[in-house]
Parts: sequence; C-alpha cells; structure tokens
Amino acid sequence: MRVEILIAGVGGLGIVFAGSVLARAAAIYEGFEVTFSPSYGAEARGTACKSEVIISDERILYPRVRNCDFMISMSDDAVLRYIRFLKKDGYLVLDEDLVKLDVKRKGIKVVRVPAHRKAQEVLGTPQVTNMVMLGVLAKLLPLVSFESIKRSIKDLSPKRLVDLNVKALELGNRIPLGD
Amino acid sequence: MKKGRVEFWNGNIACAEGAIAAGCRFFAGYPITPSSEILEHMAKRMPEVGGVFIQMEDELAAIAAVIGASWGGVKAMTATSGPGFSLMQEGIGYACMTETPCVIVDVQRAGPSTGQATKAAQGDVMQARWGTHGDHEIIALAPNSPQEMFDLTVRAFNLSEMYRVPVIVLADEIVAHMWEKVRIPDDIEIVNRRKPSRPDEQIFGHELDTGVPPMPAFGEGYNLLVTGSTHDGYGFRKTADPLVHRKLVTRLVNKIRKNAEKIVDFEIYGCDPEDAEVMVVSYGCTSRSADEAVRQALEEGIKAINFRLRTIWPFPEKALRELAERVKLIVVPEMNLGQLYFEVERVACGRCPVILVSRIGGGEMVRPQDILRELRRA
Repeated sequence: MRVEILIAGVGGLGIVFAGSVLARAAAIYEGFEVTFSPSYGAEARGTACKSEVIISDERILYPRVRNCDFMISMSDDAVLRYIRFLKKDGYLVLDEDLVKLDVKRKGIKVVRVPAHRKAQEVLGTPQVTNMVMLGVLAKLLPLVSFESIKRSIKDLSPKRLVDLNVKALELGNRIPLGD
Repeated sequence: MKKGRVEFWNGNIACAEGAIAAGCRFFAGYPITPSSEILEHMAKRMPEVGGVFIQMEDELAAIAAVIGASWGGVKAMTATSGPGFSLMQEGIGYACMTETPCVIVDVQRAGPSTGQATKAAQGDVMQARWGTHGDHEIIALAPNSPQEMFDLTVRAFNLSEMYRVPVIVLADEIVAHMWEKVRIPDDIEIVNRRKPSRPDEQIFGHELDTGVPPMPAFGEGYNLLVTGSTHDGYGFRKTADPLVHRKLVTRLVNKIRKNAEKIVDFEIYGCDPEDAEVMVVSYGCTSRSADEAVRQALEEGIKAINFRLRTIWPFPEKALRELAERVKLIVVPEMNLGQLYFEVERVACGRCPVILVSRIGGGEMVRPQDILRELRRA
C-alpha cells in the first residue's frame, strides 16, 4: 500500500504546516511509515511551495510523489505544474476562489470547495484556509482519522492557535463535497 | 536494539539530536539554508543539556570555535552548507594537522557559489575529500534518511574521537528537510577520546607511533602546544626538518588508510550480490531513487543490486573492486555532473563499463526510471 498526497500552492498559505500536520498524524497516531518532504522557494512568501506526503505500510524507498492519489491545490500555478502527477481516478481538491482555472483533464475526480471564503466568513481569517482544506481531505482519506489529525494539530500549533486550527479543520469537514 | 522511542523528525533535527546523544556539548555555527534547523535546534537544546551554543560572526569563526572547544575537552560540532563549507576548509585542515576530533555537517545545496540556496544537490563530494590543502585523509559519511541523520551523526562523533580527525556528515537538502520516523535505541554506543596516562606522553605521536596518540585537554595539567605547523610528538614546531614532516603527515594519512576497512560502511539492497549482473553505486538522497530502480528491475527479472555508501571517504575500494569483477555494468546516479562517478571508474578500472546518471537544478532528485533505463541495457 502506498498513498501519495500533494498539497501545493504559494508560500504563505500554510502549505508546509498542513503537510506536517497530516504526516505526523499518519506516522505517530496511525502508525504508518510516512515520508514528508516540504519544498519552498528562497523567498518566504509568494513563490511556488509544496508538501509531499507518502503514507505506506512498508519501508518507503523513493520519497517523491509520482502517482498522486490526492492533490490539494491552492493556486492556478500549482494545478498547471503538478496535475500530470495525479493518477487516473485520483482526487483533485481545489479552492474554488484561489483556483480560477478550468480543469480539462478527464478521468480524475475534481472537488471544488470554498475553503478560503468559508475561513473568512465563519472564522474571520483566511489564514486557516490550509486547515479547512485538510478537513476536506480528511473526509476523502479514511486512512488517517479525523481524531489523529486533531491530535497532530494540537502537537504542532502554537498554543494560541490550537483552537482556531481545530475549528477550521472541523469547518472543512462539514463542507459538503457535492457528487 | 532495545525498544527505545520513536520520534517524527526532519533530518536536521535528527542530526542535532544524534549529536547530543553522542555527547556533543558545544555547537558553534553561522546559519545557512538548508542547514539552519540544526543550529536552531542546538540553540534550544544546548542550554537544556548543559552545553554551550554560540552563533558566530561567520563560518571561519565557527570552525575555529569548534576546534578550540574540542581542545577544551568537549565534543563539538558545526553545521553549514556549500558556501560556508568552503569557508571552513582552512579550519578543517588545521583540525587534520592538529588531530582535533570534531564534526562538521555539510547539508549540500546547489552550487557553485550561492547557486540555488533552497534546492538539493550533491556537489560537495570532492570538496569534502580535497577541500583543504595538503596531504590528508578525511572521513565523510552520507546519510539517506532522518534515521541515518541521527545514526551517522552518532557514528561521526565516535569516529572523530577514535581517530582524532574531523569527520564530515555529508548530507543534502532532501534528507535534511525530509520528515520520517526516527527510532532511538535505549543504549547508544559512545566512543570517547583516549587520554594520556603520563604527564610526559607525546600527544602528537612518539618516535615509533603509527596510530592515534592520546589527547589531553587544556587545564588538565599538560604543557600543551597546538600548532598547524609541522610539529614533533610534543607539539614543538619543526618547520624545516624533512623527517619530522614526513613522519607526521604519513602517520596522519595512514591512521585512516590503514583502518579504512574498519571505517568503511555500506549497505547492499537487491538480489544476492553473488548473482548480481548489474549494480548501482549510490549515496545520500539519490540512493533512495536507486533502491526504487533496483526494486523495479528485480520485478522485471533483472539481477540488480544497489551498493549504497554510508561512508564516502574513505572510499570502499576493496568491496567495490570485488563486485566490479562480477557485474556487467555499474550505474552511478548523482545530483552533480560527475564526482563519485570518477572514483567508481578508477576502482572499476576497466573491469566493466561505468555509466553516470546526472540530474542537477531545482533540487529535483534523480528519477528511478532514469536509473532503470540504464540497468535494462546490460
């Protein structure tokens, strides 16, 4: 079993944090072998940024995403760059406001969610868009339980942000996926 | 290994924790991507374990502080990346000549010069070997996971204490920033430098000494002279005597060369090496691509192995020569335009063809399929 998850966008959106929360949940609380590789540009904000998470029940050899099962995309650029790594029948989860592109590729499942907008409307800040997206992913990825992700958020968030991050995760989990 | 505990760490944190487990109690450094988390972690941890952390003004000062701390009797480390590693070369030579145990972590990024600061490369292989001037032997280890960032940093300290040499942990951005589980055993084997037993002992090697002399610290009652100039067994400068120089530098080189078989460490993945027809020689992050390529090759019925170097220097000549006798082809993947490749070619010495698979730029790993394509040729 090897499940590949790619979270991609631009620096400043919490791409690396979202990856680290998911990876820790899978490794420490679900007991899987996990490789998490964050990648970012020399600038802290604004340039291409991604988190690659691989979850397996055996030793992980090659640590990079090639046949992606789940791809969360938070920028047009990220979709253009990485859609070719998404496997057939793989999930492409898009923020409907941050990604304006019309995705033409056939044979994949495209899920559009208003994560950015909901974060602003319900929680008053777009900064937790990453956690809302993770809440959406948690619905699609039964391998890592919602509870494990929550515990991981508690481990990794600064104290003052734990509640907000957990609320954002729950918010994402409540967003209907449509068909 | 006993049960121990499991952590989820990136390679840099694992490296810092490995150093602490090995007994490191002094860290001096100057921050540089992609090694900065080592410094950051040490800034937090050194005070907690009763050690000393200093952020120096630059890398020249960092290596100098580490050498001084080691002569103060403490296990000491610094961490840097390509540009800083270049600046440390003079200090590394001084550590070789003065037989100062210390550990230098080089988390490789794309060079030359500032290059691509956040992107991985393996361009410092030869700099680790020959970056400092003059005859010398060095030890360099190449981890391929956060687990090995921990394990090999422990080993780096042990080797540096045993042989009184600077030891380089030659990591790369990929293993340094990658997060994986790290299993920490309850008991870790620790080696400490041998202390002199008499006050008149020659701590830079007596007349007949061919090995590793004992090393006292400042403040332990010895009249210590430490110099980078050629010196006799007591540390007195002998800057024109041919015999003293010949004897000293030959011993410095031989204490590594003659123990190379004990220092060399590698892992073979794939079919039974006796049956192998094709072989990959790899190290660091690239060995993960090589393992995957070999796994796929085995599925296709190709008898392949990945000979993975955990010590790059000294180079595992004997083992590689024996395997080169047997296989039809050797593939060397590297994130450079050919460095260890030439070393493999030297040792294979025409016994079989050696092919280089390069990939540089943007921190992109060598792809398994690019290695596999070459393995299929044989």
